[in-house]
Amino acid sequence: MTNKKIKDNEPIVHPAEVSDVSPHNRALYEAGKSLLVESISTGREFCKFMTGTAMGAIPVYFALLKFVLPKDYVLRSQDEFYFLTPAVLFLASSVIFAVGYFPTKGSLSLDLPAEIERERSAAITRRMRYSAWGFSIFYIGIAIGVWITLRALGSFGGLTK
Amino acid sequence: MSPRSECIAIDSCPKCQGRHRYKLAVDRSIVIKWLTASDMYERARQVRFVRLFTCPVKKEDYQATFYLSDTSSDRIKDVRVVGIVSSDEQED
Repeated sequence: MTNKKIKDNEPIVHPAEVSDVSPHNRALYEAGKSLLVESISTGREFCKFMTGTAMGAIPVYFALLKFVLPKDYVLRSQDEFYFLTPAVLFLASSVIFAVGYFPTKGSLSLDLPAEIERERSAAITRRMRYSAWGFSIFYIGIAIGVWITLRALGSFGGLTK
Repeated sequence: MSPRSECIAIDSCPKCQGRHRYKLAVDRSIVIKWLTASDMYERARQVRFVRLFTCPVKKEDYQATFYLSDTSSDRIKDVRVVGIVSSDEQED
């Protein structure tokens, strides 16, 4: 803690009770400390994990389609757009997550807690924005992919003989 | 609105038995409203706060419970411990 000068007009408060930190408050303090420290790495790890997951969803989707569509099925030009939409969305979300994971430049002084707080909040807000956008697109991709797969399953009777 | 600064005096630190003073940043929201007759006789509410402080001598944490008063037109939103103002050892 830093030393502060006291002003004459500042009201002085007298505590009702002073004691050692209670075990409950100590546990809460430790939880708060880890939340504060880990909140930056949580967003970064999420972006890193989702970059791979979104990219990995593309072959999974095509494998499912291959399983569902008949062997001799030939894609028409309008079908290409239709079947490729989820894959494009997965790719787009992967790019967004990668941008979120991308390191940014910033300067801060450890002597100025307000500056650290500002940089920390800016980094968290930025990752949060990219994570939200990336996940929304990924989610839409999954929804469309499931819909296309189920529709193909119904049309070509993939599961019925 | 920037937080108002107040001061808390710890007369007997549980860690070093010394006297310390800490600066508090009290964030109050000022409510602008029509003054009614009941507001004239409104009694200030005592709001309880528990905050952690660091003993400047032993560098260990302890907690203090204190009460601050507010009214319906001057609500306390947050109280932060800014830092140590003075202690017995530093004044000597």
